[in-house]
Amino acid sequence: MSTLLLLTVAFGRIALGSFAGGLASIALIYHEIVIHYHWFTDEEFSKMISLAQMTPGPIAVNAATYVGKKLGGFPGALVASASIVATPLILLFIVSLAIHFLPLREETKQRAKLSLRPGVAALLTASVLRLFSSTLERPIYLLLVPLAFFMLLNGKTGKNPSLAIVSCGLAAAIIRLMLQIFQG
Amino acid sequence: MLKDIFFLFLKASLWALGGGFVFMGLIEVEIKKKSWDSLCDINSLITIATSLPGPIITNLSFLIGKKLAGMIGGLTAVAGAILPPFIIIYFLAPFLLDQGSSQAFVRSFFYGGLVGVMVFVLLTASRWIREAYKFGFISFTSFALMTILMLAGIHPLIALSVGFSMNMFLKKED
Repeated sequence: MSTLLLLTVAFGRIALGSFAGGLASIALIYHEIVIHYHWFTDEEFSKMISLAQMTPGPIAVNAATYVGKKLGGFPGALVASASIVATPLILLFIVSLAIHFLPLREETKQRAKLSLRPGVAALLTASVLRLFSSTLERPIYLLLVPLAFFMLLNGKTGKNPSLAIVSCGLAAAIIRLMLQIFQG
Repeated sequence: MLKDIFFLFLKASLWALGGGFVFMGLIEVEIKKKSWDSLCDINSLITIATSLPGPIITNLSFLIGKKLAGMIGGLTAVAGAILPPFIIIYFLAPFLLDQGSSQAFVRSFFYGGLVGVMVFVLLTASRWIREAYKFGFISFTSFALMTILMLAGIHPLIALSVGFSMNMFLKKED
């Protein structure tokens, strides 16, 4: 299959499973691009997720743009991003058609919505464990965990998670630069 | 109208560093400023956008754009919302991630940031896990099973379908 088609399929599947916002999509992105297609190594994936959480825009769209560009240039970036955006909307169209012809009781709809919620918890847990196992490759970085907790749980800085994430990055970069200077 | 829609979503997308929920707040304020809230019921569109899978930002942009100016309006809104992140990642990411990574401190910057992401996801996950626990035995068992399946390398969509069926069909009404 051509790369463009594979990108469409991979990011379409990522979009279909990403309930309740971007963070849950981390586990899906990892599965598609590291486990399933081997497009990225664990390390490349880690750096990409880190950057995606520092820049504006949905994490899945950021990933689609970067992975798409790497594999297929501009058309790749375009197709992968379009797949992330269009797949949920096509699903909405199909579901509204289905409900039109096969009216569901309000209770059933409500029950279906609630039944998805434990899945979000599972996606997020799997995402955390993936990120944790990547970080274990470089255990020294775990020293930043208290800083991250402090900034995210603090009333003021907690409102903007990107700020906490960039701060952790800057702290690590500054320590590394200082070490380089002192060690000559 | 289309031009206004495009720039409204472009602006909101640039400012929404905190993700989908920040975006929702910004859009709501902007729509009211333009008095477009008589044309579309934002709250009901937010409900649809958040119950769909996929990015909340693009789902919501399409739904509002479509209400305001039909299919073309929807596509225009999505284009506006997606252009800033697309351009930033397209030009910046290869430079920072690929070339920058030859520098040790740039690598450290991203590894440090990853710890921040990890703790952020952990805090979010803990809220959802507590909810799954409060929801009863089937709910919590399905959560544990789905997590194990995902970590074992089963496709998350398959794991999600298993967990969804457990909750949909096995759970008794309280």
